[in-house]
Amino acid sequence: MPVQSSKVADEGTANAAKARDECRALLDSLNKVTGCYKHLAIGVGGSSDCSNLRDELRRTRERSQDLAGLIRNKLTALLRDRNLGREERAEMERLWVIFSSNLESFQVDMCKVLELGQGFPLSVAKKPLIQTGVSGGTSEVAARALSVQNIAHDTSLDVDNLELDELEEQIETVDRMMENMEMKVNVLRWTVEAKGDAYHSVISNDASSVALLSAEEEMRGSRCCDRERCLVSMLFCTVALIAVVLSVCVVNLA
Amino acid sequence: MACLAKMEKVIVAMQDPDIGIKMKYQKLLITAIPHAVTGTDIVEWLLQNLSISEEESLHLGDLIVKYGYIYPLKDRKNFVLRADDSPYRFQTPYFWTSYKWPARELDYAIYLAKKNITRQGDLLDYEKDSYNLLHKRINHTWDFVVMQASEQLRAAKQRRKSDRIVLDCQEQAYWFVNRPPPGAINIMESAPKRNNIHTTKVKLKNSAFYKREIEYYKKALTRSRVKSSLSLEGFVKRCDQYLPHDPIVSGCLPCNPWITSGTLFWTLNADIVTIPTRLRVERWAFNFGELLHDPLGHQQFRYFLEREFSAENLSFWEACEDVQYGEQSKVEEKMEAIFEQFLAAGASKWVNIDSKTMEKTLDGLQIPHRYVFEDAQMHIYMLMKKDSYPRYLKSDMYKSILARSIVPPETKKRSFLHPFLSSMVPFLRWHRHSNPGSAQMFYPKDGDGKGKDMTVSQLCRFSHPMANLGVFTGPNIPIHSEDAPSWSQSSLPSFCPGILPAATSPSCSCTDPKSLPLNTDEVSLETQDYTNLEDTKISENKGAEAEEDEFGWTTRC
Repeated sequence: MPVQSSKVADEGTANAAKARDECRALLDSLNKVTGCYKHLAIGVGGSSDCSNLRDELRRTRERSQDLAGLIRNKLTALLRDRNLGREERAEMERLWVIFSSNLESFQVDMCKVLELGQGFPLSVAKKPLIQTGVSGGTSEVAARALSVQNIAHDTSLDVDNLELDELEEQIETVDRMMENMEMKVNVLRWTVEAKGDAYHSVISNDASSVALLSAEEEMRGSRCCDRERCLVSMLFCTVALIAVVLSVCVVNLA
Repeated sequence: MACLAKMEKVIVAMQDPDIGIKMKYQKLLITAIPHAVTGTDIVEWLLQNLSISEEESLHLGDLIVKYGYIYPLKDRKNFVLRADDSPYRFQTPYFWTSYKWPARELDYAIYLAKKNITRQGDLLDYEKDSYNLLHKRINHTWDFVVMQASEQLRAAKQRRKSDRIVLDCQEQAYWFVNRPPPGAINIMESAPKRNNIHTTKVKLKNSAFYKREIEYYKKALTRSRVKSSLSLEGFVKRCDQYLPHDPIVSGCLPCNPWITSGTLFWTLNADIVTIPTRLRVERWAFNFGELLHDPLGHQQFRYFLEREFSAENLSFWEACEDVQYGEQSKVEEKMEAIFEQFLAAGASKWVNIDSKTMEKTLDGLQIPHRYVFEDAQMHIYMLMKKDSYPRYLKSDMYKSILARSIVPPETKKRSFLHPFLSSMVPFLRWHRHSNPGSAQMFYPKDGDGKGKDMTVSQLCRFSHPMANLGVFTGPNIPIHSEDAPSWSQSSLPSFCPGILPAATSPSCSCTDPKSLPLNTDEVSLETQDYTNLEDTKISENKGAEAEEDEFGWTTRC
């Protein structure tokens, strides 16, 4: 009997571990999508604003909401489970805090998008967009967030109005979701300790992008276009090498 | 905030393809980023399109920059509009300054985390401090902060280079405005905001909400209101009546004690004096409340009633007041005493109350509490007011005291003199003017109604213990009940120094030789005024009783 119960216990912990990992993965993707949503929201009303942007916003939002729903169900199920061990519980609570912060940010962004969208309607030709200097497209960002290769925009839809109509309801939905969450699970935020850098992956390897991002800080141009410079210098080197090789061959031949 | 909405309109107008500002290109080493404007362009556009002067357009432009709608590209740490070639760019609407969506700590933490990662720890001092502080404060959600920061950085990498530069500039400008470095102007600073929950949440309009609204409006409909024409009329009448008595507007005879440090005013207006001041005696004629609440008036009225053999009314009233405002422990015994003295059949000082009220009072005596005698007291009060009070005003007693009353001559402003001398002055003055009753009603030269409708009434009066018996300021002119309590409240703190204005009361400035010839005219005018006042008061007394019941007594809580 004891053997069996330990087996059951092992299974139980295995299940819990699996659930936990799933949660983490889902949370990661939620994080990605909300980050993308915020990035897209910054463009609303600016010079890069167009129906494509609104469409991407809509899709990202829908994706966020689906993910949020999934995570909520999983996390509430796990946290309401009385048999959860103390460490497990701490971990779950940490994930919970991350999840609710995510949702809060997402909700604020949604409200802002609603307001800005109403303030800068695309369909009305009279109201010009603010010339912010941003000219590129945002499709790549959205594609990455939605984990698709390419986003195909449906230009026939009147995305503008569609989005805004739905947005209000969706804000309400998220609002209610958050309230429900708070009611069902009582997580004491101040008891949660952040794990620090061990959990998430830090980007720091990409030195060239770092240099690029700080480009406008010093407009001296000395650190300005390192990447281009690297490429150019590499090209130069290869050309020089080829020239040397050729000359050597010529010399040898001659 | 209204100014933000206006600025936003200006910004949007600037974008107009026809009349908007001409955009230039910002040339960086390899890329050229569009939509840059120079300072001169901005100033000129404002000048032309808003039809304002150059100075104003410069100032307006500067404000727009300070509020973060336009950010400088060259001198990033200094948000100042320079009317030269320096380039500026427009801020994206997401980052516009807003009181509805203030910058959150969480967002700031994410921004600092991003900066920390990209610059590998090289933050400015105040940023480092903020970072550490935030790390401590929102430590429970720090994982989220770092996750989001890295995610946003990754997302930004997908954009083209020029866009990335612009996005970075935008965010930096936003945080410069919303979390300014120490020493820079914080435009987000404002007075404490009222906690208006309606602006922050999407309101849930369900049935409970509407039910509450309906209840509220139903109650509001049944509230009794006075027409503003009536209440304002009453207000004006009252102001006119009390105008000469207001020390701020009409000056304080003999001199304002707060300004000249002479206590003559208080001495002359002490509770019980043999020779009262004219103003004080005249005031008794305004309404019954004034008479009762002035200690000297009260005493005089009592003498009058004793002559008329109706003093028990006043005694009863006083006793009831005592019960209402006295100690809780003594209430029962006081009630017993009152019953024996005034209400029992064959009592020594039996008061004449109508049968209904008597029944009610006797019933109420079973359960002793403070307000048992309220109805009876009210009845007696009205009796005195309707009956004895007018007779008193017509009586010889009143007239003689009015004749005896003095108008203290005004002293010269001698605040810098020896205080002994200043107290001597009135007597010196009396020698000079043979006519001691000279009515030097000195009206201020400017005659400006400073609109002080709240009378800072005779200060010394309120040192009397009677004053604590709820300043019954029951006006007999129908004013909205709300006026009365505010008036009574404002008169109570009048005895702390500083309430009387530091601004010099004009009457205490040097006497005007012009005022002297007014003597004889003033006297006759005065008596006329007095009789007029009396008549009006009595007629109003009769006409406006109902209101006084409502308003007069209910001011006391």
